[in-house]
Amino acid sequence: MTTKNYSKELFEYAQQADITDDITYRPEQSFWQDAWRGLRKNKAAIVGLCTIIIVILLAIFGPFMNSHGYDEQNIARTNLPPKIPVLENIPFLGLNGVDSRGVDQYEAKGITEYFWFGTDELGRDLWTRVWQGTRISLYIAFLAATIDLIIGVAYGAVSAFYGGRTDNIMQRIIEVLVGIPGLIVNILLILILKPGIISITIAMVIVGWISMARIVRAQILKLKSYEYVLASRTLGASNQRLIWKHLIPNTLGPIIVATTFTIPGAIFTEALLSFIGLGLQPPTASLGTIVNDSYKLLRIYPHGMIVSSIVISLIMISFNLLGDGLRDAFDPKTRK
Amino acid sequence: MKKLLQVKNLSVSFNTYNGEVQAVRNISFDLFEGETLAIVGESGSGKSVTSKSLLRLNPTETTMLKSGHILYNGHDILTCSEQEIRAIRGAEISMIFQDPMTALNPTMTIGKQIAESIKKHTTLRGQQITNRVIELLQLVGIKEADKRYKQYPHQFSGGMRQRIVIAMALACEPRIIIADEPTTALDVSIQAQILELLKSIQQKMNLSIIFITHDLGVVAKMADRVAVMYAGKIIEIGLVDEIFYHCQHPYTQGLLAAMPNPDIDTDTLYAIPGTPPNLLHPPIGDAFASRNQHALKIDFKEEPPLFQVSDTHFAATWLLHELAPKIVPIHQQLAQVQQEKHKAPAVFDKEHPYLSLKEVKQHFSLGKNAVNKAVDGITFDIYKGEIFGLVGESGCGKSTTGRSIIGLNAITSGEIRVDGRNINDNQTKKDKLAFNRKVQMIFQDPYSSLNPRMKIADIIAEGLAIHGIPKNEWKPKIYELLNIVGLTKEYANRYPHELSGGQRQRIGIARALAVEPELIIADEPISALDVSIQAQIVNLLKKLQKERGLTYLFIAHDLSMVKYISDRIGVMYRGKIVELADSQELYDHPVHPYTRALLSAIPLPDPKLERERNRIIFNEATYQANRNNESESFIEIRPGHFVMLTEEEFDQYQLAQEGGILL
Repeated sequence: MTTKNYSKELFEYAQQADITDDITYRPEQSFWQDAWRGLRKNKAAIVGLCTIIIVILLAIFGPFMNSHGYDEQNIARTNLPPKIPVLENIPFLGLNGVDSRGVDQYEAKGITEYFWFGTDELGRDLWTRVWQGTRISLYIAFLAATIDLIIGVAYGAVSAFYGGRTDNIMQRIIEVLVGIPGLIVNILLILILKPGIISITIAMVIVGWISMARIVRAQILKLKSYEYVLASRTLGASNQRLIWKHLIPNTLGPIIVATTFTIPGAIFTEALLSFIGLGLQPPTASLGTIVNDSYKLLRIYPHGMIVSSIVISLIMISFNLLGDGLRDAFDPKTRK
Repeated sequence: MKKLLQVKNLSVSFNTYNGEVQAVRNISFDLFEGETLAIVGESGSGKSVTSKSLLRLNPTETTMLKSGHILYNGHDILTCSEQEIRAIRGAEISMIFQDPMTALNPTMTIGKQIAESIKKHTTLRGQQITNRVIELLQLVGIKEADKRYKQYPHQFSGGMRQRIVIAMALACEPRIIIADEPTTALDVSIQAQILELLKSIQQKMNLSIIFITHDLGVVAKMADRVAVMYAGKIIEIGLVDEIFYHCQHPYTQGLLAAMPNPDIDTDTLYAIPGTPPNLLHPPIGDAFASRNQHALKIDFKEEPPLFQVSDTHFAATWLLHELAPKIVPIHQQLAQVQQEKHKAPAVFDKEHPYLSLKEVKQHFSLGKNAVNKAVDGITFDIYKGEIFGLVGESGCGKSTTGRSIIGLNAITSGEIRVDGRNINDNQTKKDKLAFNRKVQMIFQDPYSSLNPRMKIADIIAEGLAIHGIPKNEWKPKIYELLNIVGLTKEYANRYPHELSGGQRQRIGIARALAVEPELIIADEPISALDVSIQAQIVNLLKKLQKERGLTYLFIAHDLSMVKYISDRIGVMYRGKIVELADSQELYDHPVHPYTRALLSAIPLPDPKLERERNRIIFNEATYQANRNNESESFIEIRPGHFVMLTEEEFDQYQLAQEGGILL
């Protein structure tokens, strides 16, 4: 069949090398080290993380970066467009204090100071207000997300793991809570408590944890009949061990995704409540109240709306990017 | 014979995140009219990809067609238009899938589902279609077809659903049927029925069948020709007798040798070492060389061409080259060794059984007034150091029995004693932990039995952690266990998804061994593994049993493997043990009709035998109907051989014995 000539030596038995495993040594690393390594390789997640850190830093230090207070009103300098040193020389950026009608408001009003994000209708410095607002929005969002996370995960895990009657009762409670529209609960609660950071957080948490609880319950119901959970049980593992070592870690993906949705969701709810007047009361600033204040002037002085919207969007996008990255980083299957 | 389909130099790759996976590498074969061509291979050998290419069913986004032609009826299937291929799919070439549970749409009646392709491909309309559907259902052996065609898939059993899937495939009278593991998800007796059905339909309609499977027994029963695939290549192709009796490739020889032969007693099964290569980076030369003990130097340098053995038989191995040394095929070597050995029967302490079950019942409530009697009063003992096999079909309660013994379910009634102690008495935490150390379990599915988020080291160490062994002793213990199950310590820092199925099953065994148990319940430990890997795991289990004096309860549905590994076997049927005997005795003289049917339904890897064999059919309905269940009892008909018989059946049996008819 083959006409090619082969030398005779080729047909001797080959030395059976020791069974070569194609497996190489890998340094020992903890779960968290592995996760961090995985996260670092995800560029989008790192961009998201950096943006979040920058936003947080600005939220903490931004208000101190100029001398204006967040509630410092001055009718003489209302509705000034943004003006930033150096950047004012690049005309198309629109950061030179000229408004949409082509009038340089700074010159017209005789103001020599620079307002980086401009001022609002009461002449308050927007830079200070935006970062002050971001601080409060983030604070509410983190608080609400953390409480949602703790209650939701615990409730869902207990309900699914113990099953039977426990599950039945716990699910009926959830159904009752879901049956009442969230907004009505919020409004009633804020009417009883005084509007403020804590009451808004409580109002959001009261119904907010339910979706988390449901996600966790569905996951754990599925996971608890998996053979590795049974194997652990046959080894004599306690319920606590099963929940913490096997069930929760394998639910992390959906938990992280749900949390990254909760944070922007909470920022929005706060904005919505502020918008209908049940949120934070003036002069306290939050991203929601700034949007609320400046949307009325959108046609003529759009800068207030633009700046606060950009900050909200940045926060949302970067949390989503980071959430995606975290989910992958915690899942060994997607790690390389 | 007429060539119906020609595959020429087909190469298919998949674009994955990690790179290009060369799933099928340059294969060629023909399909003749009216024949059954079986494609055999392990998972990942490219057999399913090949079959899907024939209908262009591989996902278009990731599939890269590297080269080749598939010629059918003047068309090249790989390059013809979408319209042409649609006219071929279903009408000319149709497909039967593996899992009948997911192949049917649960929201459509089966009649409508079958009618779909008739509407598309024929001119029949209205009542004609209905008539055709009923005719098809009758053809595949569904009774009362005129009523049942209006039913939904969930109203049919698994075997019935597979018949419906076959009816769908036959709807437009295709010329070729591609059956992709059509019986893998079914029980042996139903598998036998489906295979017989396919054969009879083939004869009636002069069909050509491409039969894809990993089970050599099924191949022996079904095939006219066999193509053996390994690492994306056809390494041997020939008539079924040529492959089974004169195979040339060391891989084929190894596969055949790895099947336990019920007629020969051996201590260890032949196992092909190692695992199949990664097709991301296919090896240079012969892909099988690194697993071949007789590999030649040239195997590592150059790929062997297909050598012709006879007119119909080709094999790709350098051993067929004129310069190559002549070696005795593996299965013949084994046969010689096996003739000499004779196993002395093991002696067990029968006074003090290690595990003893008395009238154990496990009922599950299914809501109001409905009870699932998963285990319905079983009694048996397992002696120390024994391997006890428990066989039965799915749903017979064998796995539930295993889980009840280890305490995953609280039993409804009865008594389970381990090492003389009733396991339901000891309720303190300490006693329970002590019990958990004594009895351990190995699970069926190597993919779901390891926590994907834990490293191998942590998985193995879990038992150590639970039983309070100080942390500084873990590492040496983990390495020791890895070594025992045949892995290196480098595996400790891996995650389960990086391992193959066989390696994962080894980790499962190491986890069970970590607490130094005395009894191991192995719940179908090999049924999810490839043939060549099965033998490795069975050998490992046997070796461990010998070295450590372990006692096994080996639960499986594969009677030939159970027969090979077990000292005694219990056959379960509908929650009861219907027959219990020494494995050889049970195999030679089965008495209960269910056992006999089960034994005759196992496909054996021996085509000549398969042609002669007659299957004993166990008709459940008539068996139940003519039976006085009240008077049944577990009768010892021979020393150590118990059968569940009614008085009537026992009388019949004795009569038959006196008449000299051996049942």
